[in-house]
Amino acid sequence: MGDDLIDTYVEELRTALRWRSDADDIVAEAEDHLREAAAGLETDGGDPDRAQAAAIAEFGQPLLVARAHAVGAGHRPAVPTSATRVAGMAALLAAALWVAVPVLWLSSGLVEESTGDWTGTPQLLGAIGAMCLLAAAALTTVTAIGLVARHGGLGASGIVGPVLMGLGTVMTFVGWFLAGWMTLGGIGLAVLAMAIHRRGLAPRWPTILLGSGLLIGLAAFLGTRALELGSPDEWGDYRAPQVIGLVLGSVVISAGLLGTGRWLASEEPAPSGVLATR
Amino acid sequence: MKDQALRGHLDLLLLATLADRPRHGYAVIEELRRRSGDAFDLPEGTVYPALHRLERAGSLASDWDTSSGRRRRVYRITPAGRTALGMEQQSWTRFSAGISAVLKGVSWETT
Repeated sequence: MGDDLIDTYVEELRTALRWRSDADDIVAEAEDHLREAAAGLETDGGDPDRAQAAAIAEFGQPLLVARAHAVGAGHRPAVPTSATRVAGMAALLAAALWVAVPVLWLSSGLVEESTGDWTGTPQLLGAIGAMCLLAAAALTTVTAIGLVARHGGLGASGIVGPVLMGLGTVMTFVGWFLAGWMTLGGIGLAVLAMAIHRRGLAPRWPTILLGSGLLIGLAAFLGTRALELGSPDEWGDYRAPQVIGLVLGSVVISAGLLGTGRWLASEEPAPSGVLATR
Repeated sequence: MKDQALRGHLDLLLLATLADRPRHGYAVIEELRRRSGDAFDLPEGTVYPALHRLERAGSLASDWDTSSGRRRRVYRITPAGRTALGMEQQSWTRFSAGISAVLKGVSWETT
């Protein structure tokens, strides 16, 4: 027998509740209710599909029901809200800024090479790139907090991830300690992404890219630096490893933010009332 | 009836509905609807968390029944639930009498 409307509803409810240990019991109870209600409506002369649709309408949207169960159990509900939607928009902005950073810094380097002068345009482009990086880091932290909220909390990982990301961002603001920030932020996002992945609620690949972007960038920098790729400048710094690490890390984290941001921003906030009248 | 009014009294209504005999969730909601003359209009799925909360509080107990061919949770009121229901009924009687008296414009003692 193919899936009917109640089967579809039950699967949606199961998805909304999948983080709960008693999800099977709640879903079984909901399905029993819906089947009995639909059977009653059908007996009264209704078309089977319309009877099921009416039973589902009376029962309430899956997200509303999931929210009611979360509130009843004293948990924070794993549902979209206005705040998670804002976090999604922050992620989309952060994705653009992450791409802008290497573009600006590479442009700055090219102009400097052609003019032989760091002051003026190269300095301005470099400064704008630095501001973009700080803004991207801050907005990525906001995204991380939004993802935690969307999952109704993620236990210790939901605290450690954003805190490490935020700490790394503050370090960058205060001391411009980029390697330390990439390490802290990378670990924070990786821990968070693993917890999100286990829940299976967020899109899979964007979550993986978000969680691995900074660490990939760091690994690319360290790996190419160890190989002494390119030639050192007058201060002994290897530019090629920096460029490779920056471009790779920025592109990967940007792709992750784009995917998770689109997901968060596209979800309608769940109804706020647990017993909202229709 | 508006949700705010229902929210405050849902526990009382559910305990009263289960006072005479055990019922599964759908039957509880149907009985609630029948007794209220369809006055209560709320998403049925949100009644279940209230039933679960009452079970955690010890006012209700439940068993799973599979005789219908589906897993079905049947709720029954516990002795603690009957005590709570009695107290809530007394409280509600006083409250509703007070409201009625105010609406009629007479003192509570004369009602």
